[in-house]
Amino acid sequence: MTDIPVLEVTDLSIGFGGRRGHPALEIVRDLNFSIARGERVGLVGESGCGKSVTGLALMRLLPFNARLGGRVMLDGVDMTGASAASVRKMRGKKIAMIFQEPMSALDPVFTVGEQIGEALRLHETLTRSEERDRVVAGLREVGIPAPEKRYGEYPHQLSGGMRQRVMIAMALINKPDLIIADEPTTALDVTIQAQIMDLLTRLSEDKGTALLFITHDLGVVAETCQRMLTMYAGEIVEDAPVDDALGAPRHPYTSGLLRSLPHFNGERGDFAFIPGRVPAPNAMPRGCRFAPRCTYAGKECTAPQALHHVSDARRVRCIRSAELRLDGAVARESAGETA
Amino acid sequence: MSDPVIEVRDLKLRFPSLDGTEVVHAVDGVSFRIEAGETFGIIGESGSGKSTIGRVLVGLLNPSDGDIVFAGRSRSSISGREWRKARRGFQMIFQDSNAALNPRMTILDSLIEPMRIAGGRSREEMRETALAALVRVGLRPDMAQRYPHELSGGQKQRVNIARILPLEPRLVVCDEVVAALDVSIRGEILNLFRDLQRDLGLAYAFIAHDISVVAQISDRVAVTYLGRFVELGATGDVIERALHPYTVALLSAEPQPLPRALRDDRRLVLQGDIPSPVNPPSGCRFHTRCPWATEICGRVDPEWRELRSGHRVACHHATPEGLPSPGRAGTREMTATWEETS
Repeated sequence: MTDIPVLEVTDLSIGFGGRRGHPALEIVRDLNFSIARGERVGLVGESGCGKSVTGLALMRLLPFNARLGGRVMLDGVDMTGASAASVRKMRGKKIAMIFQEPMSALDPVFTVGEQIGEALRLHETLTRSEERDRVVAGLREVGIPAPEKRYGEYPHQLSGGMRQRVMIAMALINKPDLIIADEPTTALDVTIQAQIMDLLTRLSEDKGTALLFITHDLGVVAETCQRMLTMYAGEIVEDAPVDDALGAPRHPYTSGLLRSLPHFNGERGDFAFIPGRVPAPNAMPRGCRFAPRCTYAGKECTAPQALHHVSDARRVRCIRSAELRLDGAVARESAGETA
Repeated sequence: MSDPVIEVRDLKLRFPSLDGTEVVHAVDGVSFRIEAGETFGIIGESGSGKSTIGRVLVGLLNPSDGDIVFAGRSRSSISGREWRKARRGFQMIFQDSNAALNPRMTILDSLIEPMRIAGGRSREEMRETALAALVRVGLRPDMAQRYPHELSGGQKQRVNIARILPLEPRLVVCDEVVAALDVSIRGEILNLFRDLQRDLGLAYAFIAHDISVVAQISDRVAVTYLGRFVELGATGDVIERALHPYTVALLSAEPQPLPRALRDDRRLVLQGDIPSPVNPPSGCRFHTRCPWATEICGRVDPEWRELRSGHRVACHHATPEGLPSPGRAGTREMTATWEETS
């Protein structure tokens, strides 16, 4: 039982539109990954790479014009083919989501307690006082001071950090096996972000809840996750244990992202960056999608690239990965000195 | 660096709350000078007053108290007309590159607009200057005929930079100018800022919540908390030898994109939220969240002391050697703890 991953995504593709003779616009393709029980996985990439759409697809929250291909197995149930009714039974109970902006994710006209209680009522039959006790306990668990008092308050009465704690309490109330957190700390100040990161890590460890952490912030992934999936232009380009991905990336895009991060070392040299822009979904290169921006692109890169294993725990979508020695968060030369 | 571009003296800015019954102390007594050609970084969390300070520098907000001095003249001593003319030398670039451009104007018209308001140039001169500015920021001249929606975020931010160049500013206030851009293209824009500074002798007030960006671009850094500066000094001193507990907490809260073996695993986790600027705490404003706080901190406002050369701090417990170990100074219950991040 414990060997079965909580989530298994096979050949998932996500497209939009595609009616009246027009082909669907493919946003994400060839997505293959799994998440083990209790594992914390970071899904990183820049805006438009398809990471948020992937999160919504796993929750089956995409609009009607979305076209899903492939399979998403959640606790052994196929989410892509499941009926709307059975998906509703899974949401909250098996898989829950935390969004970036808690103010727009919470309903302003209901109290915090009513909203969390509603999530509970959808899956369990409880008396009013049982429900209240469970919700108050949930609020206490996420570190909200005076939870009995906060139970009856409205979202606007809480700070941004407290609202995000409420969202986390709501996601956890039915003890799901997997939480998808889409940029849960991006809207928060850095000292509050640190609190929320610690909270998510601790709860995931205590309860064995798996976490898919969608973010553009590599620092957040480094400090909360065990594994990192890097997406570029709708594809996973690298899948590796987080320390390996940061220390010695195998895909030029992961390496480019890491080198683009500002480093303060007392000098004010050039800022590194990746030249060019992400291609539009309707103008994807035929071969490697990163090739037009890649310093290492060669003839072999004009062919489509497969995500292949380079070791048991690592996969890379780059035909040249074996011959490249790429810089990570710390340049290779200085890494030896620091370590 | 003896010639400041602008000097701010005991700046205060208060806003009435919506119902008029309360007063928000957005900026509450800040003094500093920005030297010609330097980059002055201002970091702080939301509500710390950093953007308000930036808006006062360019004249978008008027101080409730205090004064601004530039080129030997003070804001309070000159007429509104003179100030409007003088403030052309102080320009601002905003975070949202899209909102800063009129969607119904071509890029060329957006570039010409500031020059038209300033006056003194013919239509043809303005056009040529605009196109030259566009090339200067690394865009092709044919971009001039496009509309904002046809440009990427990075390109729009370049246009916003190009808009202010013909006004020949001496100081540019950059308010979170790369916060909305993807990490991979930030470096390109920051390099442009640096090149323009070198070539045109611009001074920058670089406002951001992202310490790593500010640290890499600034000569000096000021740390804001609840409308005050808590620390100010050369970037290397502030980042590597911080004197104020809040700076220490901010630096340690910044997630490090490094493998675990290379990370500093100790983190100063602050409890609670930033207090409201309507009713800031008595004494030191940080004392409600500070692990070093003692009885005096809640009672006496700490002085703005220069503990090291050019390195100032407002803290009762800071010494030229730094801060004592946290907790030892404290007689009250700890409100924050060093935690091993696992």
